Amino acid sequence: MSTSTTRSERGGRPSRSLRPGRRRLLRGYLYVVPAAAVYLGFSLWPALNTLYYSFLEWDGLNAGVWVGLDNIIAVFTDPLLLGSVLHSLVLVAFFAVLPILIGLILTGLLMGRGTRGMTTFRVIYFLPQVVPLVAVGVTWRWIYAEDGILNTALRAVGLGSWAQPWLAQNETALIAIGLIGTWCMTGLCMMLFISGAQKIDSSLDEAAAMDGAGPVRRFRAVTLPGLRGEISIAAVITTIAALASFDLVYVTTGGGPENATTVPGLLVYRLAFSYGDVGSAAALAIILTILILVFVGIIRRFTREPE
Amino acid sequence: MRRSLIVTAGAVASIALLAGCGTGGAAPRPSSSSDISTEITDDPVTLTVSYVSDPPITPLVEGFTELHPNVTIELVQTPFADYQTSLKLALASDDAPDIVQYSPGPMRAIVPAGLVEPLDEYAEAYGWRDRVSPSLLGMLTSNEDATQYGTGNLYAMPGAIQMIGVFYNADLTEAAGIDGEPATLAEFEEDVAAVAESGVTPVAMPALGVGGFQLWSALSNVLADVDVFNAWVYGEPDATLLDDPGFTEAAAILQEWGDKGYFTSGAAAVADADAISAFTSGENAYFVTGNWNTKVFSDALGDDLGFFLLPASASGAAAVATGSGFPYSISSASENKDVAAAFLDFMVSEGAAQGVLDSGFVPVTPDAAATASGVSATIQTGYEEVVAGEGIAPFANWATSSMLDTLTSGVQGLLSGNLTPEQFVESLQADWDANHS
Repeated sequence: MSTSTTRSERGGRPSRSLRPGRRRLLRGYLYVVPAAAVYLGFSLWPALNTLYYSFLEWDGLNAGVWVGLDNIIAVFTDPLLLGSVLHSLVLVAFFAVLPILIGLILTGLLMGRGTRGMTTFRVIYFLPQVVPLVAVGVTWRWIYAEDGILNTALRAVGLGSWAQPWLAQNETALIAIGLIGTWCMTGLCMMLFISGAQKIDSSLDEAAAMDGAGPVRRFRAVTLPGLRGEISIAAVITTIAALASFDLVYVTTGGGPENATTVPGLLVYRLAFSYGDVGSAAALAIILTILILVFVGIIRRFTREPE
Repeated sequence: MRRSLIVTAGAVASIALLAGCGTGGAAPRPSSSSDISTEITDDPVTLTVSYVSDPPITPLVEGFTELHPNVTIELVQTPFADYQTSLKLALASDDAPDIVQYSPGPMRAIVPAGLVEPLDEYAEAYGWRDRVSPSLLGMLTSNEDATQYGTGNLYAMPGAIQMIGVFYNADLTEAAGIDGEPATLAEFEEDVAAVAESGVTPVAMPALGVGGFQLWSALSNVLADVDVFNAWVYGEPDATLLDDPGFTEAAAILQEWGDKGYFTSGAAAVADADAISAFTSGENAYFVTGNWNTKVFSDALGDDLGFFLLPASASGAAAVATGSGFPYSISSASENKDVAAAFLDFMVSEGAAQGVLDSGFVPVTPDAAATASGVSATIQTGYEEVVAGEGIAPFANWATSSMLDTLTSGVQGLLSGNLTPEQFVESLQADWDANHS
């Protein structure tokens, strides 16, 4: 059957089973092959592998043992693993919600004042994005230390009773790390919002001003709806950064004190590479991936353009 | 319809591939090499050594290649965290290194996979067990499943000694009116209290890093039965810390010192590097840590730096300290095992002593002709007392692959007061039980 098809093709007569439309379709797939191969090989394949590993008890070297859903169930029953997931949800408030709010306020202030000095402000607020997170983490560990800048400053203004070792206490450590995230992410959000706000037709703003709307009203009625797309992107990026955080926690507290700041990324690393428990690490990674997909889905739904 | 068919085909292919994919069936166990030799070839040989810690490897390699000029040794260094993760892959690869620094964590998978050579025949041929303190070899011997240590085959040899003791800044202790080194634990506690009264935070405590639980280990060594501790770290069946009150007592002292303000407050966020810089800049009088810091300390403090072993409750009790050798194993894939074994033999010979001493560590086999000065000499003497006494106790974090994190968060719990000393020891035992079921 295939040989006859080939022969008839050589003869130049299109066979009935391989019409030109279908050939074009096949050629189309051929063009996709290189990109698809890279995606399959380096993205989809490892992801499927991770899913497969999550059903195993495996040390990464010797033969693995099939344990079914045990690893996945452990993510929800082991207080250490579940705790890390809950901590990452707290971080979402600091990495995503706060930066977007502050970013919007900064955008409103900077847009209102026109473009004078805008570049300087942008550079200052965006700078934390350029610094490697490991350097950020080490620096903030010093700032938060018992005799660090923060406590020294508090004592200098007479608030010595507020001074405390921020990262060393279970109650304050996670919030302290979250605020580092806020510091990092605010600049990114602001940059996105300013570039979005500049695209908004200025006649809209002027028309609103003619109708007597004040700056706050104009921001709410004109700028904010125009930033829908940017807010969506900013929320997705920062939420993923919060849920998948690793480096910041690794260098500031290492998950301590007393596992009060563990995050899934940190535990995946520990389980897979220190404890030789690739199965549990893969299960936690799978749950983390699902969590991120759920969050992204919710964000996209809430920020969709009204039909 | 057609698209879904293609997707299905792709998925099926993926699953088929998955089924055949790398859960790495057990590698073949090494064939017992009955034809070992302590004579090495004169032909040019190149050995590759994969390692983390330097020193002591460089002086060892220099000493060996001086004796055997036909041997070239290529050194491949990897940072600690990466080493832990990459060692398994490196040994399983086609061009595995000949010699690797032994690390108890990854070895739990590597030994059962048969990727490192049992050294017992070489040990017999070279007489290693007569020359090296048994307490150093305990953690380097294990059964073939690597579930229990201190028994079974020998998988590595120590190249130099690391040991934990009390470093002190004599400038600060003298200012607090302390005369000489303490002979008992009670005297040491009095000295610490005296330093606190002089207005200096007495003890460096990096509870974010490994420094926190090392103080607990050191206190445990002198307060509890060392044999109980060794059995526990080695993973002997039914080993437990709960029956010996010494471990709880050690945790109670650590907690009490924290409550009395003997540590920097906020110790749970102090990293090892932060504590080292605090100690070298004269902010703390004492630092219970390992001799791997000797060089940094003596460069900064000079003659003010002193060292003593943490004293026991009773004066004159047999000395004990936590420590280990820097161990090296031979890869099963090595084509020059005899040469590699000759290198391991050199490490524990007198010829290696001076080079190791110069690098700030304690040689496994002392050489009368080799000279140490200052704190290095004190540490050397301390080590000899320990070997003559109760011996070297293994690092507590070797008990299980997750014990490091359990110890770290446990000490943080002691410092915050969220854990009682009893609960701390119970948390360690719970980790042990979970890993030895």
